[in-house]
This record gives sequence, C-alpha cells and structure tokens, in this order.
Amino acid sequence: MVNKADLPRISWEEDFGPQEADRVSGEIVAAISGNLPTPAAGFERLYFIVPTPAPYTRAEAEFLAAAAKEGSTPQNVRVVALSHGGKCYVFGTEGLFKALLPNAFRMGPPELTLIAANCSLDLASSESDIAGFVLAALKDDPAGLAGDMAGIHFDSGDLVEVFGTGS
Amino acid sequence: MIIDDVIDRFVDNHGEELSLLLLKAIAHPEQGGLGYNTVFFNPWVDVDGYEVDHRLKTIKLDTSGVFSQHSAAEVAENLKDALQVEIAKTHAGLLERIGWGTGKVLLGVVEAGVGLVGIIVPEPGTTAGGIAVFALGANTVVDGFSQLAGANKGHGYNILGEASGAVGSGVAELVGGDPGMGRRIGRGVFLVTSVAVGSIGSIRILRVRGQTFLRTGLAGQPGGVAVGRVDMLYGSYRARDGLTILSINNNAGQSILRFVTHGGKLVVNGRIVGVSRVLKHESNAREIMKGLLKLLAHGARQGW
Repeated sequence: MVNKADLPRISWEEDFGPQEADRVSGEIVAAISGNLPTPAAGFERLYFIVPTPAPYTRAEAEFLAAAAKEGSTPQNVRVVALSHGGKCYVFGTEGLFKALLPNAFRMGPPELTLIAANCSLDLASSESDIAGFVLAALKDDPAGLAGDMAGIHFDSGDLVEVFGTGS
Repeated sequence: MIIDDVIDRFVDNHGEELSLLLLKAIAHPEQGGLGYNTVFFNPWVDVDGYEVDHRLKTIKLDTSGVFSQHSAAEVAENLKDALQVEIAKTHAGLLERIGWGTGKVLLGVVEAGVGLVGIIVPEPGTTAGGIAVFALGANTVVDGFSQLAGANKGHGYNILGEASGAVGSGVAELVGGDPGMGRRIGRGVFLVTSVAVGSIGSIRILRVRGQTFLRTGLAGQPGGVAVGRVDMLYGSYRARDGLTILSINNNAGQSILRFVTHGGKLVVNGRIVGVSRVLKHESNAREIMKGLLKLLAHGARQGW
C-alpha cells in the first residue's frame, strides 16, 4: 500500500469539461495499468469499476447505455453482482474502460474503486469466479489472486489509496 | 459574482447564529426552512441593497452601487440586513417554532453522531458513554421531529423521558458521569453536521422511483441500510476505518452530502452535481456551514 504522502494527486471535479475528463481519465489509467507487466500466456488484462454503494437502478441503466454508445458488447463488458448488494463492472479493453470513467464518476456512489489486473479469468468466466477475484482484490486476499493486479480508490472524488500486488 | 462568494463572506463575517438564520431562510419547507431563493439584481435605484418578495419567496441582492460593483462582502452585509429586517420580522413566530424544533433535532443528532462515533471508534472509556449518548440522542431526535410536525400541540413527545423514565435516568447518570462527553455534545464541531442531518436528511426522506424504499446490503459487505434517498452505516471496501454514517442522495442516486468517519474523525463531503464540490473531507464547523448553505442555495435554484 502506498503512503498517503506519496499518493498521486488525482481528483475528479464536478465541473470537468471533456478535456479535463480525458486528461484525468488518462492519469487514472496510467496509475493503475502503467506498472502492470504484459499479461503472461493464459492471462488476460481486465479492468474493473466497483462503485460503493451499488448505484441506483436508473443510474446503472444510464451507465450501461453510455457503455453501449461507446461500443460495448457482451464480449467486452460484464456486470457482476457481488455479495451483500455490491456491483462490479468488468471491461475487456482499456479504451472502453477509459471512455466510461466520466460516466462512472457521474453515476453517483461516492466511493469508486478502479482495478486493472492480469487475470486467468476472462469475461466469459462464471460470475462467482469473477466476483471471487474482485473481492480478493478489494480485500487484499492473496489466496484469491492469480496474476498481477493494481487498483486505486476514490472517496468523494479524491484519490485516497493505491493498492495492488506490486505495492 | 456568484452566490458561493457571498456565502463565504457571510459566514466569515457574521458568525454561527446569523448563518443558522440564513440556513433556515433558504432551506426548503420540507426541510424545516422557509424556502426563500436568493437572486442577484441590478436596479436603477436601490437604497437598501436588497429587496425581499415574501409572496415569491425571493431575496434579491443588489450587486452594484452608484459608481462601482459591490464586493461579495458588501452583498453579504446586505443579505444580513435582509434577513434581520425582513425575514426575521415577518416570520418571527414561525422561526421561533422552527428554531426550537430544529434545535432539538440538531441537538439530538449531535448526540447521536457523537455517540455513534464513540461506539464505532472506541477510545478507552468512551464506549459506555457513547452507547448512552446514542440512546439519548435518538430520543431527542424523535422529540424534535414530533415538535416540527406539530405533534402534542407543538410541545413534542419525549419518548425516553415519558415512557422509559428509569432508562432515561440511567442514561442521564451515565452521560452525567462524563462531563467531557457532555461538553462535546453541546459544543462539538458536529453542530452544523447535525443541522444538515436533521433538516435535510431525516425530514426529506423521499421514495425513489425504481428503488425499494427500505433496503439493506448496500456496499458488498454486511451492514448498511438505505431509507429512500438516505444511505446509512455502511463500510468501505478499501478505507478500513471509513464508515459512512449518512449519505444523502439526489433522485439519480448521486451522493450530495455525506458524513463519513476517517481516522476516528467525522468528515463531511458535499457536492453540487455538475457544478462543484463544496465540501471536501471537511471537519471544520465554519467550512461545513458554508458548504451546507451553498448546497441549499443551489438546491433552491434548481428546484430541489
């Protein structure tokens, strides 16, 4: 885990225009996937957005509609239910993940955890396997993690934590 | 000039009591306020620097003098005059009733908030006091709400006091045994927090279309409950000590005001969606007051 003083200063402001949103989205992608090695054979790079608490039904529908506009298909996006009402959105491409970050921040929940991982899973894996991986990543449980993982956590728009297998 | 600058100067220059009066004036009636909207104007002739239209519930603030633009501090001064001369006079009886009811809610939530933090982030010797204060706080909240609702001919019901005298005295003894806790209850930095919780969160609990009114299990972990647009008592996946006490959402589920513990401290986050973040992990009472007033001022303009 990175000390608070060493955290990159990344904040998502309410009045971001398209340029600022694109710039900060780029910083976020760099912060989580910049230090990950190229996935080894049999592993796949996946991106995860975990809002806390789970978004309202209508907000989720708008988020998924935005994903569809950006070209999402069942092959590159997956919605995964976590235990106790949690939700996770999994993306198979960096471009789609990055394009949807502004929508993720607008979706509503005040906490947002963003993860990039080299997974032995893929978007066609079972929901319970993906949920198990996400929960292991969120809870720093090495037993549930196979492969490299990097994540950042935002609280009310401010980056407050960087974590991962290399931290 | 924007209203945020005027609010900053108002709170800095005129203190807590007038800030509370402003909060009551611009809060929505469902939140226990009078529902006035503040707007800027620039008349040809204006002696007072303000105009109040009680029928339209509008406080107009003049932004320019004869030779130059007014500063934010000057407009804040005119806002103070408008409140003291027009609002307080016209609504004296109503303000008195709202003030008393809100005061009870306010005190109650301060107690509940401090008690809750005492339980969640126990320090040596505070757990028993925390539990006691939490119980007393909830009771005071009920008392305040019933008074705001005009129950018992405006006198309110004190459930703990009337139905559970023995418990009440026990609680009082426990609380009385900890004068430090008592002082924190009365003068704590959570004073303004409690205004928000009392007048925004707890009164205006609305059903959200497409959402179950009462939900449990919010955040992927045990615990947490949502009532209408208010999410309560849920933990964070990552911030180990982060527990959201209350998060008040708009109809889209966007958190607009949130009280959360970090490092054993209660901090407040607030945002005007699409405009600005008015409270960033704030624990300073004066800054929290400014943020709440900005939220209310923008909320009134956007029609809630």
